[in-house]
Amino acid sequence: MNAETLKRRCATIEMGSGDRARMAEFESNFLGAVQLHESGITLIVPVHFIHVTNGAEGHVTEDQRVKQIDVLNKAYEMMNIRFTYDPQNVDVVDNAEWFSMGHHSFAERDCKTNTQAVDSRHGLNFWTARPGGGLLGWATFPYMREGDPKMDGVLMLDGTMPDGASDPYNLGMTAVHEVGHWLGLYHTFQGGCVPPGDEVDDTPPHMDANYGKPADADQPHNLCPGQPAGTLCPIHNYMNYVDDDWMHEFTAGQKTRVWAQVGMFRRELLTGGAEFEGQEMAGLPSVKW
Amino acid sequence: MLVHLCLIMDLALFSNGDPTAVAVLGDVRRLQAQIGVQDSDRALDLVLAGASEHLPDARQILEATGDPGDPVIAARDVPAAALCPHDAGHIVDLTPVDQAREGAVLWQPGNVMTGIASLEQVPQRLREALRIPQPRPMDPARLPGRLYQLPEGEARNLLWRLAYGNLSTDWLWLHDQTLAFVAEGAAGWLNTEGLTPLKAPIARRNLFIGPASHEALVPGDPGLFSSEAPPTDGMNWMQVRRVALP
Repeated sequence: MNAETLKRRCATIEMGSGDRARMAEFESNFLGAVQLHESGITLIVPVHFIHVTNGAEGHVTEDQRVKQIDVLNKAYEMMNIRFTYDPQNVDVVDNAEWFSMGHHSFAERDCKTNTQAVDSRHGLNFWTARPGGGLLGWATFPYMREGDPKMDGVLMLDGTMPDGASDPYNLGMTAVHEVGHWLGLYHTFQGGCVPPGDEVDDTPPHMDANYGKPADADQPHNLCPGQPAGTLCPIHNYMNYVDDDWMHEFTAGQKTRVWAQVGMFRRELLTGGAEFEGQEMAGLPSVKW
Repeated sequence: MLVHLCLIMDLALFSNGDPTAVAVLGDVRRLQAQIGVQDSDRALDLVLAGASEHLPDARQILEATGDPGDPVIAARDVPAAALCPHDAGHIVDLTPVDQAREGAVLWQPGNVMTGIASLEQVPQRLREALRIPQPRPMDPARLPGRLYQLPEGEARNLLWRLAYGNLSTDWLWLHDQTLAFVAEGAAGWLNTEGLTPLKAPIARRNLFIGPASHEALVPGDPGLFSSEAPPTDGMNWMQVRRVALP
């Protein structure tokens, strides 16, 4: 599919009054109109780093940023998504209260509201801090951006950056995982054994998260009952909770979902891709959320 | 309002003073508070309801933790809508029995087909239902914290308070002693005043139950000891947590 084809398939999909349980239905309708994941388009996502520090703590090096971008690009290559980084797009904010911000806290809102570096329609705000409590990072979902644009982005424990201090979580995979959420993916164990799970067809449902390095020899681990023989628990999927060196795969179904979510909720990102600039908006179905 | 969910917690969950139920209750309260001040798109109501026989246990817990809940005595045949605010779009019945109240979705701990493999999973499922993003946590076995031996006589109430204050609190009953693991970061705001840690910092992956031959944090056979490497003759804390060992 090319941009010309997309133009001809203009449609409007009503998202109702916010019943998110119907997300799968809307996504299915969207995919019926446009299949961006098969279009050959490369999505280009500019990344802006905002490092929250507390004096000497929390600083991230240029080498770590470059390596993080490289880790993201390797992981998302199969999705035709590329992350770009300009060394000028780095802010360092020294604030002791924000440095230890909790998830969904006043401090988080305060920090993000005051430090967002790029309009969330056109790039990824990538914060680092040290939240504590064993939290490695978090993200916002695409459908949350329109109602709360200042909170949009990912936040990472500084030690999870490549070569960071948070072994065995210091290979940059927390960013791959959280950017997965930012692009619309759920955990592979979302909902446990209750459909629609993570709303992706080729990630088999499992009861709960896997941690550490679950052995391939011990499959199917915590896979839900009733799966066809030979079905494997997604213990190497980026959207599980295993150690960084144990994560190395996205599925074709996850690619499909990401592109549908981008098309529905992050379409302005497409203007960042030179291949598509200036043509894409007319071709995509309009989604009212 | 995008999501308005009402969670009915069956009082039977609190029978025998199960600290996991107390931990879930505390976490739900914190989530309610977060939503109340941060979030105009979501609402979460919590109703404590059930049979009168479970009321005394529930009342003890609410008193010990300072929870503001006011339990409702309601038989199973009372429809869910009669217990929840009328505008709740989604009603969940969290209960050990295998049938939900009329008008509610069943979450039965241990029944994976209801999505709840264990009671501990409830906060995660609740956030999923409310479409609240969940942070990636480190492996609970690696989470650093402090190990306490709770003083006899106060142990029950103290454990309830520690569990209520932080979902990652963990415990083990060994030779009639109550041991509590409190995650780092939580110890600062949980009231652990007057308690001296047996070991700190420590991660649960380094705590083992095993023969008396080891240098023990808690003596006995089996005893509790710490080790950097997994011993051949011990079981890790994560395998025996939240149970009573003789």
